[in-house]
Amino acid sequence: MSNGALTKGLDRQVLREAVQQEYREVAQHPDKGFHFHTGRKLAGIVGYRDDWLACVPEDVLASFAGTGNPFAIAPLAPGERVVDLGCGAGIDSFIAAHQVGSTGSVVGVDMTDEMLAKARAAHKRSGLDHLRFEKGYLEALPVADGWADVIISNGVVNLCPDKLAAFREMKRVLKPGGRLQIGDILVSKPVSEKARQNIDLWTG
Amino acid sequence: MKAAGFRDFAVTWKATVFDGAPQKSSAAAFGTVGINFRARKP
Repeated sequence: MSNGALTKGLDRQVLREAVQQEYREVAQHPDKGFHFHTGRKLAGIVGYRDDWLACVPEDVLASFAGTGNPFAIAPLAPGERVVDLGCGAGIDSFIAAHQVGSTGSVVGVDMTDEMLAKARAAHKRSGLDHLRFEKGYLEALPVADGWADVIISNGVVNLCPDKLAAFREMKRVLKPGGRLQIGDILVSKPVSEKARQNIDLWTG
Repeated sequence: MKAAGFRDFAVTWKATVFDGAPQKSSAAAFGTVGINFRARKP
């Protein structure tokens, strides 16, 4: 919701815990019914191609909760290094791993343990050596300086209270000339300061 | 994003993605839509 730097009066830890609680449910009970679409239905709404989804394990796809489509911006090239911010159960990481191939490398980063557990279980079954999942936050990525050709993300940046810090961190891990390909949300009506501090509105 | 040092920012797609979700969302109240955007590190 916030377009600026750290939102005044917002407790970052309380927000993180609220977001983790919401996405813990998406990981463990994806069919529960949320204030956003999920799974294969959502993938159709945001334009994921069937041939991309063919490489995605069904349990991973079920917990998809993005708001856009990073792959519609531009395809990833074989050999590229990719970071998937807020990877959740890993749908975009798996698609990216197939697009860049075994000469590339993909790191999925998420802060919610239950999402990471789901992603890592699927990864273990997949046998993809060039894909890994790490715990981390957008403001402190577990990735070396200048490592990535591309950063992808889907429906996550809006949940980060300090967007300037997050974008600076993205710049740090990208190579010169590296690119962002991000799905997120755009708020077209004014958001009051009171609303910005309402954590229920951040997650719902 | 400009403050963080990115260039060539562009929104490439915009669409309603919350309509019909199982639970009532605050998205409509704020005119919230899904987008894709791109940018580049110089």
